[in-house]
Amino acid sequence: MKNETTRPVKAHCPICEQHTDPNNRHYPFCSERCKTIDLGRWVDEKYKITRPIEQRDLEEGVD
Amino acid sequence: MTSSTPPEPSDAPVSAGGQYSEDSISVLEGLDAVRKRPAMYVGGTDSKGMHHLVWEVVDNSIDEALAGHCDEIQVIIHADESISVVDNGRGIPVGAYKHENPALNGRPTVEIVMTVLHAGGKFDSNSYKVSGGLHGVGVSCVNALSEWMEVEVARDGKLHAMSFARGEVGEELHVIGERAKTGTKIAWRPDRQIFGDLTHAYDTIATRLRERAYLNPGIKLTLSDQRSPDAAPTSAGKSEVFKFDDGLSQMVRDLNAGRNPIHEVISVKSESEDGALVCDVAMQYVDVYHEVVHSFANNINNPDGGTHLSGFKTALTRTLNNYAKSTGQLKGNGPAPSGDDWREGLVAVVSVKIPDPQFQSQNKTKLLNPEVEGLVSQAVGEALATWCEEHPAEAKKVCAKAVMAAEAREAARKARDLTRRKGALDSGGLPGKLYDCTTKNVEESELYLVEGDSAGGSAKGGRDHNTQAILPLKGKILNVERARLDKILGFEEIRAIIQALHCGIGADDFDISKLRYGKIIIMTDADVDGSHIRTLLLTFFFRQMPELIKQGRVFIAQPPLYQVTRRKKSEYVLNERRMREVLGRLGVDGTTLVVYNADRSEQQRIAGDGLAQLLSILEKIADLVQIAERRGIAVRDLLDLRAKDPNGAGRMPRIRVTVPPIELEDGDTPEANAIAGDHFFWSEDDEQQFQDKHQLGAADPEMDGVIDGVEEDAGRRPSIRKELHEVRDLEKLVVRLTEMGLAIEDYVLEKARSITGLPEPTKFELIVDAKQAAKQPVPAGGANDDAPPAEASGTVPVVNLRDLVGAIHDAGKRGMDIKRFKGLGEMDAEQLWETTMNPENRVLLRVSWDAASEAEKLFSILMGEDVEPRRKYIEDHALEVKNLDV
Repeated sequence: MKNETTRPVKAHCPICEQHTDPNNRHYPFCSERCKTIDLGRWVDEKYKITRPIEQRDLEEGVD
Repeated sequence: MTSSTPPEPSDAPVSAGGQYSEDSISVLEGLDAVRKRPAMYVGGTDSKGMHHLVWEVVDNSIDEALAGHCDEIQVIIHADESISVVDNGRGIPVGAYKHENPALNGRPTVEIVMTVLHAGGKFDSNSYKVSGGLHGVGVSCVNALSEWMEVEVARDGKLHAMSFARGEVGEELHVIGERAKTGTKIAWRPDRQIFGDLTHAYDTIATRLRERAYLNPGIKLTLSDQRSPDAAPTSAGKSEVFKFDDGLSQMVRDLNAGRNPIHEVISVKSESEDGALVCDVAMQYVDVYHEVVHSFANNINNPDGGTHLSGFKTALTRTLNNYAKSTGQLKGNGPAPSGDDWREGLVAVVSVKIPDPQFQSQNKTKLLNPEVEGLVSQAVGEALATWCEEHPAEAKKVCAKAVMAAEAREAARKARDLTRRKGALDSGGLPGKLYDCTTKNVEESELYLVEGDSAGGSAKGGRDHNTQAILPLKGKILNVERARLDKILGFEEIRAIIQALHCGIGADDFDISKLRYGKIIIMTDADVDGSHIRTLLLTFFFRQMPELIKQGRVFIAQPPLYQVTRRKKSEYVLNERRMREVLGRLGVDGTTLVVYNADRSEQQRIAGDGLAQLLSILEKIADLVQIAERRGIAVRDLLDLRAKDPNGAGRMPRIRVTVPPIELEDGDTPEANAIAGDHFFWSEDDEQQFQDKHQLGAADPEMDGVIDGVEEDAGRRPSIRKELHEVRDLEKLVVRLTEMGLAIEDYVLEKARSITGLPEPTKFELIVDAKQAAKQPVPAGGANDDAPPAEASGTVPVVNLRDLVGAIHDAGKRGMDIKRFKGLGEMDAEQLWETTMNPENRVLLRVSWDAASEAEKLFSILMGEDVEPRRKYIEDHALEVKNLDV
């Protein structure tokens, strides 16, 4: 077993995956730029959560 | 004149190409006008104009160096604000000059150079193929604007001297000594009549000399300041040497000092076939977002670029775009990187040397020579393509950077459109779908973000108009081809949220002091879609408006899951757990448990507090049994194993070791798989003995998931070890059960049937209080449609203790109408107000920073095309996800 000391929790920018931390002004991002890219992705409707269609969805139809 | 030691004159031979002699000098114009209109010649009578004198003289020496006759130039700022520039070039010719103008004919060439405007070797490309200066006025201009000027020329074995005052000859040219080597020294004091008391700026001169040293590798430039500390507080006595053999590459490295370069400097050198045009480029990408590209023609900085810069840019964009395309790094539907995107984070210097530079304006801010563009473009294109091929890893980083730059550029534009688009400011900039509240007091106002238009309608009907605003958000999007439901926060939704909150978004616009509501309350259905919408909203706020969460302004509404009606009295129940509590409380009330002996005589009756206590124990046992069963251990097996307790104490096992079967190979006996399967142990010692005996290496899957590189137990057969922590708690509950006169074995009693096939009487019976139940007929449809309809009164047979929990809950349901709300839309306006929106009754969950952070992590896992990590997450966090959906 490796003998490792506890490391501080690492956070990674959701866009570029570079290291960042909660003290960063742009947290959870690393930079203003990545924050802007994120906003662009929201606006472009690129963020979605998917789940399989269930029977009841077909029964209820789509609203 | 202050004396100074000139650099060692060089013995450099005069170039074979052309003789720099009296014949090389052509006279274009007289000198008279310079003192009258200095601004026309040196740009002004300000500090800039005064320094222009220095550049003029230094660049003459640089030209001599470029022609290959000089490698050292010394500049001294003297105490009287005079400047001396010494070079080890060939020395200005001193012989008699043949001139059409009889007044000039026969004068020493050096005198012509110093006193006649536009006289200079650089107009004759035989002497200087490349001229940096070409200031068009020459050193005579400096002479004209100086109180005094002294010139010393070491040439033809002699040292010559001459002096001037305000452009007029003072001392005629004369020999003052012998000198084997060659060189020129020019010293002058800027005329106070023209420049007043202006002083030279050391840093300005140093910057200029440093730049010249970068652009002309190999030349040594020295600058010293001999002024007193009073005259030059920051630079008195200072001296610096500038010499960069690595030229532009060194310049780029120095420009990038303290930054993180993503590759080594790329250096491009090329010249035209006839050697007339020389192109020199150095470039490097660093992890910043702006671009720094300097362009020079014949050592002159061209801030507006020109043909050399456009050649560089064209080649960069074309070459890298081609490379990115051919290596498949531009896939996807993102915007293609533009030239600007390719130059983001680029630091580059482009320098060309050409015989006949053409500039757009007097101040030479832009190069016009068309032949330069093709040369630079071709040289850079070829070099860059080669570099990409040879450095694929670095090239990939450069491409990724540009792709990101393109996305950022597009994103920034979209972000601006989001809030500044025409129409966004209509009706006070509020979205059309918003039902606003009337109060102007931000702290008391609330914005409900409601999932679905129908729920939005109910919320609008039920709300407090004064303080509660409603913004309905659209529901789901069906994606039939993939048989999946995609949940997104649509563009219109995001825009409406940003507009309603009114605090802007993005770097320039976000301002929380403009927030229109004190509380932002997310109200979604209690189902999977609702939890997804909530996760999206929380992620959006956490990422884009974290201040809202930091200030504790975001809340989750808690609509009830059930409406319970009993004896015309209605109550709302928040969630499953509360529902179980309610049913347990009601089910115990007036109910008696009868326990029979085998001979059907009554063993005991339990009711009231005793029954409530029993219910509580059984519910806890059910939780533990569920954990064990999730691990694949049936509760009956666990109970049976007690008989095998090596201590004979009837304890349940503490450790399970699973040995996976192996594929039998030649030489293996079938017995090799005899130990495959589950093995249980009551102590670690026993377990260890077993492991050793069968040469097993135990692995703990949980630990392996965290710790990399667990050393394999060489030669040992793998097995999976699991400690059964739930067993200890279970045994404590068994003890409490025993204290109540009940046995854990009764937990799993099975339904017995007689030989006639009729069910035998059960060991347990619940006697339900007839009085209570009879008051109201049993309603149709309970919370659990699978449950047998509860009888109006009387006794209910109960096979075992496990079923007792459900039976008591069923008893609690008697006379009760339980309605499960599947969505907010099922509640009418009144119900929604009563249960979820009325500040006096409602339960709001404040979203903490950690909770929002968790939602964001969950989102990162749930989003995206990758189904596998999602499925794994949901399996790993089965319990949490279950709670999320509640």
